[in-house]
Order: sequence, then C-alpha cells, then structure tokens
Amino acid sequence: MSNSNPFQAEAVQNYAQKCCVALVLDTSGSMDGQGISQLNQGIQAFFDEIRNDTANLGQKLEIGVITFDSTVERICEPKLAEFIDVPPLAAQGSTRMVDGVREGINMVRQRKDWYKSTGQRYYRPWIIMITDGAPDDDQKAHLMALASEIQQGMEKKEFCFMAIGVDGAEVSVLQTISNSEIPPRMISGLKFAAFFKWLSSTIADVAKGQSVSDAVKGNAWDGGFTV
Amino acid sequence: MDAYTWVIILIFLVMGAVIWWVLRDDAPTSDNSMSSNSDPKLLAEIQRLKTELAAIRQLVGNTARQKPAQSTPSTKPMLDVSTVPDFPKIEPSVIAPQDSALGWAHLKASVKGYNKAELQDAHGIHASGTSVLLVVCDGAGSKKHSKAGADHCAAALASEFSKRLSGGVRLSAQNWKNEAHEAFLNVANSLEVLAQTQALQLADYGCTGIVVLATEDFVGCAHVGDGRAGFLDDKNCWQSIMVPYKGAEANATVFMSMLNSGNAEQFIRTTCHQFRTRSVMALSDGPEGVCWHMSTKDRTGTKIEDPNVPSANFFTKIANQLVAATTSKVPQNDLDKLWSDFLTGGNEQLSKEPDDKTLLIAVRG
Repeated sequence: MSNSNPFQAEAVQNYAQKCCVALVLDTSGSMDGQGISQLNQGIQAFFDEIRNDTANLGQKLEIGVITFDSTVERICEPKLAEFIDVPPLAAQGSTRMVDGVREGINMVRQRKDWYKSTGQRYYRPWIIMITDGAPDDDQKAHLMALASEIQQGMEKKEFCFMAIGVDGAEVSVLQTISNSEIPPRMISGLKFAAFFKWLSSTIADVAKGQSVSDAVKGNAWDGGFTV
Repeated sequence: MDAYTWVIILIFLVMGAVIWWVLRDDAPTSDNSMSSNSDPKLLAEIQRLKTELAAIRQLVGNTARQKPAQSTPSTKPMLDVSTVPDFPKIEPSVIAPQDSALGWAHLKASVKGYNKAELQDAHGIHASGTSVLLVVCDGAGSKKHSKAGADHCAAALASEFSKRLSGGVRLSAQNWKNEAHEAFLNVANSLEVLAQTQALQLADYGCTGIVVLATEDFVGCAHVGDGRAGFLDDKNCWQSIMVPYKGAEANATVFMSMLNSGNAEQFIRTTCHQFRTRSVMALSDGPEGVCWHMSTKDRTGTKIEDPNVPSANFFTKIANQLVAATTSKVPQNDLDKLWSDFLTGGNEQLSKEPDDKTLLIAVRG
C-alpha cells in the first residue's frame, strides 16, 4: 500500500484459531525403498510449505503423525509445524491400517476436547491416511465398522477423512472406508511433495469457508497426482 | 535317607507327573477319556470347544506380540498462555471534533480475500441527516450462489430499513426488535422468491446479514450469522453491539437463507441503546482478526475466550484519519478507493487474509 494513503493502522493481536491434522502413514515393509524415502521427503516438504505459507497457515495448523505397520505408534502429538521434528520413518512389518486410522480419529477427538477445555475455537480437523497396500487379514473384518465410524464422523462434521493410495494400494479398501464427500485418491509416481503442497492449500481453502467437496476437487494440484 | 523318605519322594514325584499330565495345554488324557464316549453330540461339542480354544489362543498370542497403540497422548497438552494476548482493557478514546454540519462521514469497501477468485461479500450504506445505516452481507464460501445472495440481501436490507427511516418510523428501544424482525423476514422471503424465480436451491444463496442504524438519539443492531459491529459509547469507549452467531467450529454459522418465522427468535439477534453515538461500524468476519479482540486470555488469564471488543487502537486511528480527510474535503469516491486499498493491503495481516473483507465505519461531529 502506498505511504500516501491516509488510512493506516496496525493489526490487533489475537491468538490464531487452530486446525488439527493427523497424518496416518503406512510404514509397512512394502513401503521400503523408494516409497518410504519419497514419503519422508514429502512430509518435510509439507512442513516447509506450511512454515513458509504466506496466509499464516503456520500459526493455524497443528500436525500430528501416526505410523502403522505391525504396530501403531504416535510419532508426534499435534503441534505447530515450527515445533515439529519428525525423525525419518523406516518401513517394516505388516499393515495394521484399521488400528492406524482409529488412532487418527482418537488423536483429533482428543485435540478437539483440549481445544474446548481451554476455550479455543477451531477449524474442522483432518485425518489423512496414506498407504500402499491392504490391511492385514485380521484387520479386514473391521473395515466395515471403521467405514461406518468415518461416515458418521464426516456427517456430523466431526472431521474430514481422506484416504490416499500409492502404487500397490488396494483401491477397493480405500473406497470402502471413504465418504463420498472426499473420495479416495491415488498418487502416481510417488509424488508426495506435490500432494502435500496441494493438501496445505486445500486445508486453507476449507478453513476460509469453501465446501469440502469443492476444495478437494483439485484445481490447485499438480498434474502428476491422479484420481 | 531311609526307605520311608524315598517312598515319600516317590509319591510326590508321581503326583507331580500326574498333575502335569492333567494340566498341560494339549493333555490327551481328557481327549482320550472323552473319545471313549461315543455320543456324537458330545463329540461335536468337544470339537467346537477345541476350535474356539484355538482361536482364543491365536488371538491372545497376536495381542501379546502387538505393541498396543497409545490412545492417549504421552503428555497432557498444556496451553502456553504466554503466547496468548491479554484480555483487552476498555478505556476512553479521543476522537477529534468534526463540524456537525458535515453530517456522517464514512468509509466503505468490500475486497476479495488473498488469492480468492471471487468476492462474495456485499454492503450498503445510507447516510441522511442525523441517521446512518450500515449493511454488511457475507456470502458463504461453501454455497454456489452466495454472491448473488449477499448482493440481494444487502440491497433488500438497506431498502427495508431506509423505508422505515424515510417513512417517519421513530426507531427506539421499544420497537427496534419488532421492526428488525419484520424487515429481516421480508428480506428472507424475497430471497426465497429469488431462488424460486431462478429455479435454484434457496440454500445455495447462503449469506449472513448485519444492520447497524444510528439516529440522533438511538443506536441499534440486528443480525443473522457472524461478523462484527460496534459503536462509540457515551463515555467514548469502543463497544461491540452484537454477538456473532458461531457454532462449535470456526466458520459454522447461520444464514439468511435459513431464516423463517419459525426460527426468527433464535436466528435474528437484536441489540440497541437509547443515546447519541458519534461512531458506528460493521464488518464481515474477514477483517475481524485485524481490528477486533476475538481470541485472548480470559479474565483469569488461564483460558482463551472471545472478549468481543473492538480494538480501540485501530478504530481510534481510523476515526481520526477519517475526520481529518473529511475536514480536508477529500471526495467520497477517493475516500472509498483509499479505504479499499487499505483493506486489501494496509498491513501484513490484511494482505494475507484469505477471506473477503468488508468494513464500514461512520463518524459524525
């Protein structure tokens, strides 16, 4: 703005409203090699994108990281990108996908409870699950129950759930657990960095009021990220 | 050891062997003894129990091998209150005098949010004699025709309230609520007619609506949805005159398209004061983080709350700058252009704000 403008006033200080994002990541053995390497790079690119976001996303998004293989582990509790230090993920073991997603749901519910208990207003949280495979056989029996839980959570606007598959992912499983408002997507060629760049802008769009279904249509994302 | 001792030891050894034989996991003793029973029902039941037992053993084994997920955070999160601004102090401001013959000076603009494709806010302002009317409508980002809804509602609300002023209705604390309800319901009905005429869904016209009206001895506000509005009170303190309708989550509110006579009591909120104010303002939620205390420590300093207080620093500066510009006889078109530039990029936060920004302010002598 020109200095000749007679209207000038600095902004008041307010505590930024938060949006919790739970990244639920498949670190099973099949991700070993290029898969886990690209995922690690993509996550770091995501954090960098948020830290450097010109629309102040860095003060709004609180990101938590959960991994699932033969076990489910909270690698990082939700926090602002500037305070996150996620160690490089390693791939091993089987795919306890259902347990992993449930842990993501637990994480965002606990965070919302905390926001409420401290008087904070918040944006609808996100759960992003990324996998390259199918759940363990004993987990498949619980897929329908998980799908129902996700459906109810989406209908009540409790959270947004997005399932992302990479090469090798069982698409029918992702379709089963996804809500029609946010259908599952496939990332071709392990272009995690492009996906995470798109994800940060999509979360910002929803935070400023755009409908979730419109926001996830993907006008802003890279051509290598395909449905 | 004598023979007696050896006998005792032998008896214990035999007993131990028998107990081990009976209690070991896959003891064939029971199977054998059962197998000698030829009842087919009993044999089938035995088989069923064996299958169940195997399944339970597998489940127990799997569970033992798996590291359980930590469903609770390892440490309870703590709110770092040192990062939260203090609860605002409400203190008198000094607004420079203005020639009362100039009537109401005002600034008005609606500008697009950062990187937004389309402006979905709309506004109206009507200053005449001792009265001023401010109208702000914020089209819902999630609704397809919210810009058309905001344009329609801003024009219709301005018309409804202007009619009352020009028709000689003396607005007061006694009739403000009834007049406001009637006006808002008329506008909601006209929005429904618009949707029907266009054969489109009424919900797709979702927008909020705020009206602030000041006369010689009265200031009132009526609104549906969120945004902010305020005024300068009789002690020269900036005060809010509405409580935005907000759900549990940010961006959750109610819209003019939802309004009908059945929910009017719940959706239309009215407030008024019977005295002369020098300044009023109304804004959409886009610029509220820049000029309104809306997320600070509570009075105990331990939690966060929305104190809903206009920033005295912000509005005192702007009001004085407006008085100076009006005294210098800057034309209204130029004022509005300068104000639009300010809302677009007047400070870092305004320039980065992704939501549309509408802010109207009026000051008189």
